[in-house]
Order: sequence, then structure tokens, then C-alpha cells
Amino acid sequence: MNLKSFLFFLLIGFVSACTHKTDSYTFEKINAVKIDESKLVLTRYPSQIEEINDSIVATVNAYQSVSLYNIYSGVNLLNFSTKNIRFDSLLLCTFQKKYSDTRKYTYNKYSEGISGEGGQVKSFQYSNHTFYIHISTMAEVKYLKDSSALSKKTDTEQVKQLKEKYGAVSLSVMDYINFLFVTDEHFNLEKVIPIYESPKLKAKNYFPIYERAFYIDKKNIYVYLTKDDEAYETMLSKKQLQERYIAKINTDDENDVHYFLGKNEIDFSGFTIHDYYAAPIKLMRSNNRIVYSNSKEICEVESGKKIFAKYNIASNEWIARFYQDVNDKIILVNYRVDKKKHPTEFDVKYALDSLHSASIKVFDTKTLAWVTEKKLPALFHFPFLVSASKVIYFDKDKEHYYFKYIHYNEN
Amino acid sequence: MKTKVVFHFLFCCLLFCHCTHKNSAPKESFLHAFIGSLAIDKSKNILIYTINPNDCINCLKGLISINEQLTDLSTQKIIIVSVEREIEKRALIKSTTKIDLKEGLYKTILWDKNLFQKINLSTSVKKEITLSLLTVYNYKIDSVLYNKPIKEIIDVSELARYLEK
Repeated sequence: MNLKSFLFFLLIGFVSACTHKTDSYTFEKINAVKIDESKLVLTRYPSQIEEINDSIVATVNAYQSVSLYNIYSGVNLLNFSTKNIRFDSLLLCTFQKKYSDTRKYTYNKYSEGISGEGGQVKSFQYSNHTFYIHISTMAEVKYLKDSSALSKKTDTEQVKQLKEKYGAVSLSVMDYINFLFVTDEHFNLEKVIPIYESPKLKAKNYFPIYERAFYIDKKNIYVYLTKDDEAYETMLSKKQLQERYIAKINTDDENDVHYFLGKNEIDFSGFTIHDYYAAPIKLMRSNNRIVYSNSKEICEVESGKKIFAKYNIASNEWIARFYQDVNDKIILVNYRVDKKKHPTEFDVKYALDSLHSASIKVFDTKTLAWVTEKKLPALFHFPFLVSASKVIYFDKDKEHYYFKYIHYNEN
Repeated sequence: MKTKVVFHFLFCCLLFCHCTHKNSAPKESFLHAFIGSLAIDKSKNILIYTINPNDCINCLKGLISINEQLTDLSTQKIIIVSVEREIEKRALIKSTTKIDLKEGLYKTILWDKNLFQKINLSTSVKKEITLSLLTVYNYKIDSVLYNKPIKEIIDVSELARYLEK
């Protein structure tokens, strides 16, 4: 054997050692790519990541921007932020116009935090070369002839205490105001959709939480629901089961509402308040159907058909992200949590458990059996992205943030 | 032989007493030691801002208005901003328009995530270490007189009363 052959076999051996083969799937080695911060400095891990194409991803950074990156070079290609948006004018021609008889909206400069940016980028959806970016801001609202809406805001324990202390108090009510900014793939603004409250939802005490999960499909927006008439003692209190968990609202007519997924379709039993508001849920299009994951189960929204059931995972195991392929396999990133041995009062208040481990797992929905599992390194950070060919997540050291990606393929 | 044993016994007792001797003076708190290391006026109550720039919109919206309401008071202010890297500090200084993050006569600015967490750990009763908090501290008696997450402050006059003392 000459030196060239020896080096060739050495290289083959090295490459083999870097890949993890299971019976039916191959997972390549984990690659790390430094994230370019020349245009935008990261101050925390991104809160959302979505695939734009095989090499480009979009992320939400510090709730201030949607940013495009090349996953293989780390280069920051483009950023969308609310810096140049005039929210005072936007409020006048949307919410103020809509509620001109009953409410007075005033944009409040204190909504802008320390950076002076008027809105927070909560989350986004990318589909058909279009971004739908959920922007939230705050405005002072005077309920002129809307006493029922006002009483909901002012009949609180804090306000009662203030009245007892000072007598008559002048209160300014700050409300969250939500918009969907629709842009093309270069972030050129195409339109702004104001998200008005739906009287139909309100009548049933449902409250839509767009920042947790939404999916816009033509004129309809699917959104995650909670109830605003339920009281809880702590974040560890058990979440009461709801009649419905998802609403479909017509963006042109907020009274056109349809409800989906009740307790017979998706299982929320055992969820604490913290689980309900913090577990990584998802509304997305998968194999031409809109699906929803509550981090324990996966269902088709309109038909209610269960794609993945809770009994397939351990009680302390949660779905961080998933991808459903055309061959009825689901590739999931799951993680496990443990109760902290010595929780602080803060840990208890916010129900913070220890992250235990994370794995990439493949589930066959035909045979209802797990196909394979690859454990991820002990240190990992949310969020994850699972696409048709890779899993992407984030990491950092003292100086830099990194994309980490793992290619996988079915043998 | 007897003398040797007694000597050893006394030596061991002395060693034991030395090892278990407790300092009668109370241990200095982290906050006291930290404030003591700063060249600032410590005679009056001190206002400490611990700011997490990544806090929620609702957590930070009060900060600007509270800061504006307290500008007239000649109070010693210490602002600790939670940043991990120099690049983050530079970006934040560039982008921050609503609050003055420059050093001044009554103002000390510090940029350090670890310090931010240590101070919140020592001032917050509920150990709300990641939240933006406002604290009023008296150096002489080493006591936290007031501490609340910014999002929970609805009555600035209550806070101001501690600063006028």
C-alpha cells in the first residue's frame, strides 16, 4: 500500500467516524458556523428560526428584527425592523378609525423601550415568497363609550389598592396593539393588516395569543387561544381544559370565526400554566394541511386527525420542533426536563425546570413506532429548526454566536 | 511524658479554637462591598437601576417614564446594564435613544451581565435575577429600602419618597 492509498483510507475512516449511522437514517457530524454580526449585534439567542430555502434561514432577534442568514457562511443578508415605522400615524388610520365612536387611541412614546423602536417583532411566518410578521406595540386607550371594556381593565386588585390609598385616581389604560406586516422576500412592505379584537371570541372569553402561534392562509388567520376568565395561583397551577384551542378568523371580518381542536382531538391534560404559555408550540403547513403541535401531540387543525399522540413520549419529554416528510415519517427534536433539586423562589414562581437532554428522533406514523434516535450534545439552546434535510440550532461562546446544523438522510 | 501529653492537648485545643473561632463582626454584604468600591457619594440613599435590554416591552416601558420623573432629584444613580460582550455594549450605546447611558455627576454606568445578576440576587427578595429592577439602597446601614421589577412599579411617588430621605 503506497502513501496515497493509506491517506485515502485514513480519510474514509475519518469521514465514517464523523457520521452516525442508524439502521435507516444517517446523521452527519455537527457543523458550527460563526454568525455574522457586522450589521446586527445579537444580545440573546434568536427566538424563532424558519427555513427560507436550502441555504437561507430567517430568525427573530431580540424581538427587534427578522434577519436573513446564509446558514453555510453565517452572513447576515438582510434585516427587517420597525425602526422607520410611524406607529402614531398607523394607529390613526387603523385602530382609531375602526373604533372612532367608542375609543381614543394615543400612541405612547414610553412603548418604545430604551432603543426608541416602536414595535416588537414577536414572530413571523414565511410562505409563498411572503413574510407575515407579527408586530406588537402599546398605546394608551381611552374607552369613551365602552364601559364594559373599561371595567375589565380597571376592576383589578391593584387599581382597588390605589383608589383606597389616593381616593380618585386618573388611570391611563395601556393596551397591546397587534399588526401583521406583509412583505416580499426582500422585506419590501406590501401591506399592513391590523389585528382587531373579535367580539365573537370576546363573548366566549377566548383571547387569541398571536405571539405564541399563528398561521395565515389566504384571508384567514389561525391562532392559539387561551381563556381570559380563568384565575390561577401560580405558574405551576394546573391549566383548565378549554372547549377549543384554535380559532380561524377572517382578516377582513373579525366576526367570521371558526373554532377547531377541542379536548377530544388534542390532549392538554397535565399541562401547568407555565407549560401552556411557555412550551414550544407550532402552527404550520405540512404536506398541504395546517397542523398544530401543543409540544406533546401533533394534529391536523381542520379535520382534528391526530398525527402524533402523547403516549409515544415520556411524561417529561416535549417536542421542540418537527418536520413531517412525505413518507409518513416525522423527524422531531425532543427534549426532557427535570425538576430542580434546589429551586429558588424565582424558579418556583416561573416554574423553571432543568433541561435534561435533547435528541433527534424519527417516528413512523404508519407503524406507530420509533425508527431511530440521535442524542444531541448536552449543551443546547432553543429554538430548533427541523427541515427536510437538516436540523439547525444555536450555540455561543464568550465572543460569538454560532449556527449548528446536522444533515440527515434516510438510507 | 505527662507534660508532653498535656502540651499536645493544649496545642490541639488552641488549634481547634482557632479553626472554629467566628468573627464577631457581621460579614460584609456583596452590595455593600460593591458600592464601597465605587468613588461616589454614599451619604444619601442610592438609586440602583439594573436594566436587562432584552426584557419584554411591558417590562421596560415604565423605565423611561420613571427615569424622567426622577431626573430632578440629586440622587446618586448607579445603572447596571446586562450585556455579555463589548460588541453588545457598543451596539446598545449606539441604539439607545430614550435613556442617557453616559456617565455624569450623579450617575455611574456599568456594563456587565454577571454584576447585573449578582446585584439582583442580593437585592431581590424573590430572586428575580433576570428582570429589570429598581432598588433604593442605604450604604450606611447596608440595607435595601425598596426593590421592585420595573413592570410592577405603578406608584413612582412611593419610590421617590425613599430618595428624598
